[in-house]
Amino acid sequence: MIRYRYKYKTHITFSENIFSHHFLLRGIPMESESQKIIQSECSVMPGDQKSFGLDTFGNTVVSGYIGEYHNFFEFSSEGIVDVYQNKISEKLNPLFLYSSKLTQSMSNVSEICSTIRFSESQSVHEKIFIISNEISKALAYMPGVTSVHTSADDALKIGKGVCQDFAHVMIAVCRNFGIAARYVNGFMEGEGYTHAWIEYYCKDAWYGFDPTHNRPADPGYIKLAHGRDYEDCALDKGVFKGLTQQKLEVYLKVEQIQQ
Amino acid sequence: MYSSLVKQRDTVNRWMERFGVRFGIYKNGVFNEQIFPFDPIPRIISNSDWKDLEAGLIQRVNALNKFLCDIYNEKKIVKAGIIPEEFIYSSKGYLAQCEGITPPKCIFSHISGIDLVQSKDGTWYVLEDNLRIPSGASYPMIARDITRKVSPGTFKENEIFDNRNYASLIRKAMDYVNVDDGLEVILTPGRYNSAYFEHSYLAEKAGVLLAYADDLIVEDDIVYYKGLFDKKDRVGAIYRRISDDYLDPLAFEPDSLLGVPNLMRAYAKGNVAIMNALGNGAADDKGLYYFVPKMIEFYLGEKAILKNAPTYLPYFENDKKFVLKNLEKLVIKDVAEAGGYGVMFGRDMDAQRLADVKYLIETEPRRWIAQEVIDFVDLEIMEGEEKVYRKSDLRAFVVSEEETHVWKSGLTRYTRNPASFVVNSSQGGGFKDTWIMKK
Repeated sequence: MIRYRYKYKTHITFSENIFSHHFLLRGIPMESESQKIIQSECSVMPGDQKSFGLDTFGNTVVSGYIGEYHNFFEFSSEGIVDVYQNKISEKLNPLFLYSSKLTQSMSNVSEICSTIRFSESQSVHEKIFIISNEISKALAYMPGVTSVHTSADDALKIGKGVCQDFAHVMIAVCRNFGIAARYVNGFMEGEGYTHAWIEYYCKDAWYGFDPTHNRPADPGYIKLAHGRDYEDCALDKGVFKGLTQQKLEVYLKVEQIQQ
Repeated sequence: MYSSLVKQRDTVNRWMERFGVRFGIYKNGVFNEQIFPFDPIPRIISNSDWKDLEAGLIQRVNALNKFLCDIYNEKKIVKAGIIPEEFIYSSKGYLAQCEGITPPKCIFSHISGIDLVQSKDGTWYVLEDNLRIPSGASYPMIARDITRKVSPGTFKENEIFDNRNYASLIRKAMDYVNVDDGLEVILTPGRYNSAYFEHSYLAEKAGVLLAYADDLIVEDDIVYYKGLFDKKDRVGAIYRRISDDYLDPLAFEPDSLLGVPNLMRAYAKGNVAIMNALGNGAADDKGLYYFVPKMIEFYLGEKAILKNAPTYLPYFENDKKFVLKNLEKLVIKDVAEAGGYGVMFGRDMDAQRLADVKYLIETEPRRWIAQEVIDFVDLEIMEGEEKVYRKSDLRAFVVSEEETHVWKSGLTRYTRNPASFVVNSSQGGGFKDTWIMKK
């Protein structure tokens, strides 16, 4: 077990006042067999009016409404989690065997699948490495060329992308081979940005895997949310009224703490 | 029995025009409103015929409601091997976001529009279940209102069930599911919607508010109606006329301007009733239609009273073989389409087209269903001074609250094109009154 302290803050500055602002956030670590929450706090500004709930996948969501004029929005989440082994025993929800909006299997996904060969004796874990190796060849890490709306198939066409795209491609390929897979959003140890990886299902449990780094998601990964693809897990979503420019700043720090 | 109506048909149509009884259509990106023509000759359904229909419709809708409750929770029907899991998870109308949510009073389809045709031997066949936002009830409502004024004698002479209770049926359904005695609203996407006339008319008749997305806000996972001077009133039931995809930009289509952000949060917590519930598309998918008689047996332990049109699912190997062999005799439908689109008749296809369609069926079997063409009954309509016969269907409206009721009326639509078998208001055509007889 490793104990981590995390501190996450996102700050949006609006160039003009906005109003009638609804938000929906998923920035709180998920409790599971592989992760125990020791302490967790979050706040929203301005106003700190928020309510908590669970979405259909069991992710904690924070939602709220700011009616009055405001020119910034801030969400911060911090706490301490204990991370155990990379395994979550759970009954399979068959939903994760079927393609979703951003992981549909179109021509580019089929093409990469056709280059992958498994032998009968290989376990799911071994297959995952083969798939991930193949994806490392097909995709180069490059920020700024894809967006949150880019599908697995489009990312493959471009040949470049970020963690979200690696995860979508990996999920699409896994599902194509009948391996249940789901999208995971979370924090990685160190300073910087949030990260996305996947979980695949084998026998009776889910295992984390990070296709961007081509390795199992262990250790140093704190999971926030999972779902079929990015859209189920988006960390912050909001709609508001007003004509404005926005500037987004994200601060994240995850560090091990000694007990 | 209805000759005075035939004589006064122009008067009736003029009144309708005055009331703005219109139907909006988008064609090539341009919004056009057109009059929905009214034919004065009613469709007459005898009392004994109606009794069978009514029992069949109640049974069907009850089973569909149980099915929706089941697939968003335990999925007993999948576990029992009656419906392949794939049909649920890859249905376009299935919403994973609704897993585990039980709507107030466990009703999913509060207002169901069941489309039927009657074959020449008198048998009724269900063509389609519409469990999302079935529209069209306002047309027979207003038509009856006008014909009663224009020719009161007709309704004295004939023993016809009064149909002016539709709005009160809707109101009762809203009252029944209302959470914490909140306001009741009809949520409309606005005047550029094909059924805007209906939204405003129903709101007026049912005595509920007509709300636009802007009028509703979600705070602390509770829905409020924002009145004048920012007064906020809690909303308990929303009869929404906006499709699932556009209902909440934070849960579904992010670019939607028609929806209410975080409405899904309030709904998931049981703080508001939404009519019809979200995710109903999983039950009125054309592929799922095939299984409705099986649902009736599974959930109610009864034989289906109403028949489905004979349907084949290319998903099943035997059905696929049959479909490929008999394509010329069948009608092929795309399961994801509605409004009369994606419907192809085998007999109208040339050799090339037949080969193309066969290829589509082989490569994407889950996407298609094939049905036998039912030779359904022609109804008389007035074309100028002449009586002609045209194909027609009937949309029956079923309202579910504590009990399930069938509205003793319905929307009879007919095609204006004598060669067409596709009866849908989006494809042109008109409508008639439907008389349910007391004897």
